[in-house]
Formats: sequence, structure tokens, C-alpha cells
Amino acid sequence: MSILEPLTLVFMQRGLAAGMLVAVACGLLGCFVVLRGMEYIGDAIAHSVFPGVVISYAIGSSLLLGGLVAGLATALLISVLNRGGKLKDSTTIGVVFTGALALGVLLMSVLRGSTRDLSHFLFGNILGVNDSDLIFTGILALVVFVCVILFYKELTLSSFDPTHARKIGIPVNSLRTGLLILLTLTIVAGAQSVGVLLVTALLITPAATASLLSRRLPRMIGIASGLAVTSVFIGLYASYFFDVSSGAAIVLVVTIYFLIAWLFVSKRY
Amino acid sequence: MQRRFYYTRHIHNEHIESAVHAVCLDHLTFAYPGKAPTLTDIHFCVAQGERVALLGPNGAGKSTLLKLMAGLLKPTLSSATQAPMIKIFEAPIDTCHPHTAYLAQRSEVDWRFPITVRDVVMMGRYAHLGWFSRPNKTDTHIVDEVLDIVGLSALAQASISDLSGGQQQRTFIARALAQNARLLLLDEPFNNLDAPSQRSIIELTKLLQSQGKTIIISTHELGSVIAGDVAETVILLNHNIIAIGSPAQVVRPDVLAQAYL
Repeated sequence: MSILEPLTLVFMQRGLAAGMLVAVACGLLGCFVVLRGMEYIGDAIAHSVFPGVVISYAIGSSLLLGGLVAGLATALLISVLNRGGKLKDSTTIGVVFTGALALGVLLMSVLRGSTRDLSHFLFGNILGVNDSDLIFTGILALVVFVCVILFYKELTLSSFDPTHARKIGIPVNSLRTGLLILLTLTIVAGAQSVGVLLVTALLITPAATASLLSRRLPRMIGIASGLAVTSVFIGLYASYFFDVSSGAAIVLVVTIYFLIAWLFVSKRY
Repeated sequence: MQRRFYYTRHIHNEHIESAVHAVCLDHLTFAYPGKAPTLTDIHFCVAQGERVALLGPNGAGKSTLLKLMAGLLKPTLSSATQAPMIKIFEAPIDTCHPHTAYLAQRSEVDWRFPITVRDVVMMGRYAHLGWFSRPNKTDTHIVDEVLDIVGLSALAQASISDLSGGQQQRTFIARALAQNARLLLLDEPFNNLDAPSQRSIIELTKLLQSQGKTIIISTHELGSVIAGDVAETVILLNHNIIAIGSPAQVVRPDVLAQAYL
């Protein structure tokens, strides 16, 4: 078996391309997610994509579209529930995403006996990426890339010092909502590759590793994206040659990166 | 001047320079929702170029008062009056006043954020940059200048996590200067600072005062006010104003007892 053999296969090419696009988007956004302590909300959105997928399956529409609507609805619901200041953010998030997950499971039990396998969405199916998925992922990665570049200054400031950001007139809440929307888009695209259960890892682990290795945000973003992209490559190769789950292989690669970085960076700067 | 999409309406310098008072509070009252009032009937004016210390025990409402003056909180309106209770440079307060800077307590800042001293100071320029524009040579020059004023030029490329407490405080003062703020609101800048660092912050505020800046510093440490020249005016606060006057008038056992007992 040649080492280049996987690259000649169309489904591998598509999978690699889609996975790497998602990885770049995850690396970019992941840094802001980690710096703002939004890891938990990322995980929540990932889980709440699930009922949307089940519903869109039932009515026969695109799974990505269904996931997108559910994810955005959850992101919106969480930010509305947080506005009154009645509860801690993490409390509302915990309530909403477990509720959404339960709704998904319930809907799935209603649809039991269906022929198509929804587990692809739970665990990812990167080798089943078709042309329209690839185009969707490409557009999405581009949108994330352009938004982060255009609003880099404001995103950085509102992450570091929201008080000063508000003081000079930056609409901190709108920026946060915008970030949540980008996050949802990325998570839905990532769910295709590594599944809703593991997509948070692609978002958080490379960024966490990069934060151990860099003290400058631009470099941190570069490292996070680089790690995410190589992990997709290595993970996919591993899954091809050893016939293991590709999503899990990708996530384990980033986890190993993290552990190595943690061991070799002796102290927090 | 190039076209810029400012975050907020920009106020002309001339109006601000001619204002006699930097801050005027008119019988200000504030309560957090569902709580007893934190501040009641706060009434005073601070002249431009004055240095004021806001003194009082923990929980007296000093931070709240600074945040109100910064426009980060809105006064609780009484039914009797709907007139604006806070005026900044003799105009009704606006959340986004490009000429006031609020320096949060150091405990409220994430010091592990991957950012350099220079980048933090540059954030002061963002107020004058607006959307989609990057700092230009003038901005860079201003940042160099203010880093020099606060004595951090050598540490410009250092990570903020490497700084001492005093250097962290000076970084944020530099940011306020880069912003071209004329009113600086410092929330507990002396917390956990050793004596020499406190000294250097006090010297820095004196220098800024000589340049016409108005400075309001909150502190619960009697020592720093008694020992030195933190301010020429001291406001003793404990939910309402106990005393206003020179340090000699206010920092006396019989007066302090009213706030601290």
C-alpha cells in the first residue's frame, strides 16, 4: 500500500479538504473561545445541534441546514435568557443544552426504525462529505476568516477588556452575538467531520495547546490553526491505514499535541 | 484627515477644554436592583485639573461611584427629578465619552491574556480609530510617547503577565493617556502595591495633573492618603458623603470615625 494512495481517492480528497477548512475555522475561533472562557457554551451549541438534525431528517431537508437553525436558535435563546441577569451564564447554558439534547433523543426514538444512520452526525462522517457539503464548508471557513480579520481589533479588545471596549463605544453584546453565530456555523460544519460529540475538541484543544506555546495572540491563532490542520491530516491517514473512526483519530491527535505541550512547557509564563 | 467609522460620536476638544468642571454630581442616588441604595444623595463637583481621592471602607460604594462617573452604570432616577444627575465636562453623561478613562481594579483584568504592554496601550488609540482602520504612524508615535511618560519604554514588548503590580497599573494609565483622556478614574490603584510602587503612581498622577488632567482615585487604604500627597481633595464616602475637604481637614480621627466605625 503506497503512502500516497489515500490522496488518489476522491472521497479522501474531499474529506481532507473539508476537514482542513473546518480546522482553520476552529483554530481561529477557538482562540477567542478559550480566551473568553466560552468553552462551555461551545459544547452546549454542539449538543443542541442534534435535535435540529433529527427534525430536518424527518422532514427531509438538509441535515446541515437543520443543525444550523437549531444551533443558532440555542445560541440566541441562551443570550436572551442571560440578559436579565437572574442566573449565572453557566447555569442557563446547562439547562438549555441538556434540554435540547433530550429533545433530540426523544425525536430520534419517535423516528426509530429509520434506515438512514443519524449516528454519522453524532460521531462524524468525514469520508461521506459530498460536493455540496464541501462548498458549504468552504464558504463557511471563508466567512469566519474574513469576519475575524475585519473585526480582529474589536474582538481582541472586547475579549481582553470588555469594560474599556464598552467605554469607547464598541457594541460588546453585538460582537458576542456575532461570535456565537460564527461559532455555531463552525460547529455545524465541524460536526460533519468529527461529529457533534467531539467537535468541541477541535475548537478548544488546539487553542489551549497554542496558549501554552505562545504569548502573542496572532501567533497563538497561527499555532492553533496549524495544529488543527495537521491533526486532520494525521487523523485521516491513521483512520485509513488502521481502519479506525476518523473523527476519534483526529481528536486523539490534538489531545496528544496538548499533552506533549503541557509536559514540555514547564511553567505558565 | 482620513474618513473613519468611529465607535461613538466624537466631542470637540474646545468644548471640553473650556469646561470648568470635569465632573458634577447632582444629588445622585444609586441602588443595584432589589438592594438597598449603595449611594444616596451624592453631591459634589470636581474642577478640571484637580486630583481627588475617594476614601472609604470596603463596600462604601467607591467603585460604584467611579463606574457611575465612567458611564458604566446608570443612576437610579428618583420620581421627583428627571434631570441628569451626572455631568461630565458640563455635558450630560454619555456611556462612551472618548475623554474619560476608567481603570478597573487589577483583580478584574485577565493578566494571562497573550498580549504585550505596547498592544494594551495601543488599545487606548482604538477610541480614535473606529471600525476597519489600523493604527497609523501617528498612533504609533503617541504610544511611544506615553510609554516614555510612564517609564515603560523598555518593557514595551513584554507580556503583561511578566509585569509587577506597579508596572501593570502604569500600563493602564498609559492606555488612558494614549486615549487622550482628560478625566482618569482609577479604581483602587494601590491595592497590593509595595510602598515604592505606590510612590511612583502618585508621582505619575502629579505629572499628569500638571498637564491639566483630572484624576479621581479610590482607595480604602488610609495610609496612602495620610502619608502623602495622593490628592489635594479628599472625599470621605460611606454610602453618602461624610466629608469633603483637604487631607488635613478630612483625615482626622474624629472625621474618619464617622465612616470607619
